[in-house]
Amino acid sequence: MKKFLLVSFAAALLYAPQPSHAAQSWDLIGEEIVRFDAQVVDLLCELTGDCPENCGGGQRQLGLVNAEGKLIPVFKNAVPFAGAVVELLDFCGKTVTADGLFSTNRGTTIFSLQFVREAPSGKWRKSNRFLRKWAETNGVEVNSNAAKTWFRNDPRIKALIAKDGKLGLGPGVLPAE
Amino acid sequence: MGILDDDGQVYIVLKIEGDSNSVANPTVLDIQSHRVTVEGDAFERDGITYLTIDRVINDEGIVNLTADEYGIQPFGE
Repeated sequence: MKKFLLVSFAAALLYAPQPSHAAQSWDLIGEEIVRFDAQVVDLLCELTGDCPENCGGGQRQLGLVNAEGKLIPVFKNAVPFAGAVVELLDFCGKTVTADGLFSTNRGTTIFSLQFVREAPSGKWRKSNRFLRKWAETNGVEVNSNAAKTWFRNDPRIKALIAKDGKLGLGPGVLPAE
Repeated sequence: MGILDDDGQVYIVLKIEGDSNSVANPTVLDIQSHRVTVEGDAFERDGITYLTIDRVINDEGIVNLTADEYGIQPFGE
């Protein structure tokens, strides 16, 4: 009986649901799962003093300054091939709790944001608001296949591929089979 | 977008040819994967180097035609 109870406990732990706002590993090079509080900043403003209103209104790359004053660039959200500006812009100048991954390659460490909330106790957001904005801009439903594979349907990307081909070597040059 | 120089240094580009729009900038899209020579200012902070590009002096286009030199990125060494 004791053995049975022990096995049951182990199974319960195995199948216990993970917190919905906990970052998932992406098996990146030099990956570290982290959560920290930091202020949302405009990277160019932070470095040069050129500071437009509202962190550039979505036109500039954003970053985080943590409690130690360290500037952390945030270049990735939870959507394939998309950046994190849309996810952070609402919090310009505010302190957030950021949940995601550090990854280091070629000596450069960047942060990929998976969840964010205004510190200390705002509501958690998954960092996939980019998809909603893209769907609105392109007149499709956010749950449509077109939105889920936005990178195959984005008019800017399609125009670039039509001009330069998928490999960037001209429209007539195709990937090898 | 970043620029990788011949010494392996990565530069994060925050401004290009006077345009501080660094999100989906068409100029950036045009030079992606190209070998370029640029002029501008570099800023180092907390171990990361950022770049504001005043001018793209030369654009050689895509000169590295395969990924052999780099392997599978970013999910492998």
